[in-house]
Amino acid sequence: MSSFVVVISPGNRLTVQDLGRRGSQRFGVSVSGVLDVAAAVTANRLVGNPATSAMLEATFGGVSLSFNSETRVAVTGAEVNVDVNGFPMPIWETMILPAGAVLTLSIPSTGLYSYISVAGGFDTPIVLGSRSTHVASGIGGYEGRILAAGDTLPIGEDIDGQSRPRAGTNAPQNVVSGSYDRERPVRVISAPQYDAFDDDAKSKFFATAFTISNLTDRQGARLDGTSIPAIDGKHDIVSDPAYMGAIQVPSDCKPIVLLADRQPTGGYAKIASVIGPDLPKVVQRTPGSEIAFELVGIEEAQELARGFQKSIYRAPLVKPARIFSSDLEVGGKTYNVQIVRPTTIEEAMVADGIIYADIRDHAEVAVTVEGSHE
Amino acid sequence: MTTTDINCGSGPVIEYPRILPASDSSILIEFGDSIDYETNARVYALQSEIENSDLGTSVVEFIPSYRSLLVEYDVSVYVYADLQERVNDLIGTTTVSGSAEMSSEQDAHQIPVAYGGDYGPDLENVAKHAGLTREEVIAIHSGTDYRVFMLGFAPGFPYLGGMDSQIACPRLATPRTLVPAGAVGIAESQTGVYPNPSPGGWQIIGRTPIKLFDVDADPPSAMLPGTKVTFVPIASDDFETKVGSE
Repeated sequence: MSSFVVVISPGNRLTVQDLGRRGSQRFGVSVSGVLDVAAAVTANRLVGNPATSAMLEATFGGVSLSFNSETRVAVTGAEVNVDVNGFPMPIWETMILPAGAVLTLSIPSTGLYSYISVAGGFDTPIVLGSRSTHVASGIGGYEGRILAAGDTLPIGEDIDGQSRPRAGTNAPQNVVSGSYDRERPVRVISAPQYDAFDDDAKSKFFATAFTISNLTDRQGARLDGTSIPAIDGKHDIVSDPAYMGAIQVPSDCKPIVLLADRQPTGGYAKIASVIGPDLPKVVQRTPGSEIAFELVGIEEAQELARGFQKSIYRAPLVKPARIFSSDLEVGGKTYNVQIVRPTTIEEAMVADGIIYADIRDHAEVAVTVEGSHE
Repeated sequence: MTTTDINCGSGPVIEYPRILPASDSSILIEFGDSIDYETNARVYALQSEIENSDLGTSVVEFIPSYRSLLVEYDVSVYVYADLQERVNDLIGTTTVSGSAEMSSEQDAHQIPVAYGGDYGPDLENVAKHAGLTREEVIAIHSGTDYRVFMLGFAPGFPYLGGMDSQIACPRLATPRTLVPAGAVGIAESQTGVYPNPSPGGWQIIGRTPIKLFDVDADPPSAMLPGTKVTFVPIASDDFETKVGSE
């Protein structure tokens, strides 16, 4: 039986994304892809997917999905309350949802973007090498558009389910905490038109905190606050390559941090470029919150970038703690059942080799079974 | 090989070519700050030089523009200083054909266009503005080889260089809410083609039946960056025939 997810509620804006459409910007095609790479890569790792598998990106939560078959799932990113069939479940952790489960994400208390990964990835068509949705050009994802209630998304085959992370596996702590440190300013390097701004404008740029505007979207984070004028008002330049994290300043003197849905080229002077490791901090900041910048050199930026890549791709996942372990006799066989969170087993049954335990105060999903011994 | 452009006004004086970091994982090579054949040719010459060198495998993506080339690369393979040095060496050894040779060495890609009538509702505007007949505008527009300086703005949207300034015309006072795919337009001294239906303020003088952008084609764009194109007038009847066959 093929596995799929049905969208019950898409929330504010739900799209299929992967790491982006690379190699086609020279044809005018936007990269798109996930905004928060740290959360997205971690979501894939938690379900045992390659980093490039497609997942769902939710803007400001409010999502409800149903699963037709047992599915390994993880939710990462913004701080949302997740529940499965009415039971609260954690984020940044591997879950195994039973067939028919309904997964719900609340509106976030902190952050903006959530990532929902499934083992096998979402199997929408690959367009120009990627499954990412670029809504403005109608390319990729599910029919090139934002998901709506009733849409059915196919899940790719979970061919090596046994070797994937077990339920209760946690994300590396440094990825979870390191990506969203709100105390430190966002680090940038100088951008190609840095010297189109005089010392006064530059010092204003680094001395003051900006406010994330309500107009912020997947194309760019718009910043309100101090005006950053270019020398002689020369904000327009001959159209030049644009890239993730570039901070351009149009003639209204309000900086914009270019994000995933940016156009490949742009005609505004760029004062600075956010370093890759600090992009999750930028994108997860909600409209109305403050943001300040700090200048670093290219060597330091690259060293931080290499450390970030290593940490999000290779930092070890945290294996589930076994806080309850018990031998359980079901149907004449004895199974060792491990529960990864405090709870008690009321009863259990075996179907298709899987133990379904009815757990008080919890969903079925937290059960890990290791072998049977007769 | 070094060329030097001096900026006017009080802005900074920049020596070209200039190599600098754009982000922690991309390097930008600027060849000037003007829109001309020679500068643009150097962009594409360097792109192909890098693609064909051992640097090619660590390149994530190129974004060529009018006058500069952005190279996104894998930071786990190259540190900026080393890459800068390598690119600088490549600039030194890259040979660029002059603009005159450029136009003869390569056949222009032909784009059929049905001019005027329902396909080009603004041909009359452009003719009036230029003080020419419609036929003269068509002859001038289709009698020029254009260079695709870059693609951007939207998938497959070409920024074409080389239009005769005689047929330059301001944008429409009120942009249309919908311009059909294939619409050929003029805005000031630029000409271009809308690959997909979109709102637009350009003076529409004709329409091509060719699908300019197709995600299932390889390459996806009929107009390739750095190449030459020319517009070939076709009759309105041919437009319908060609649409059917494309």
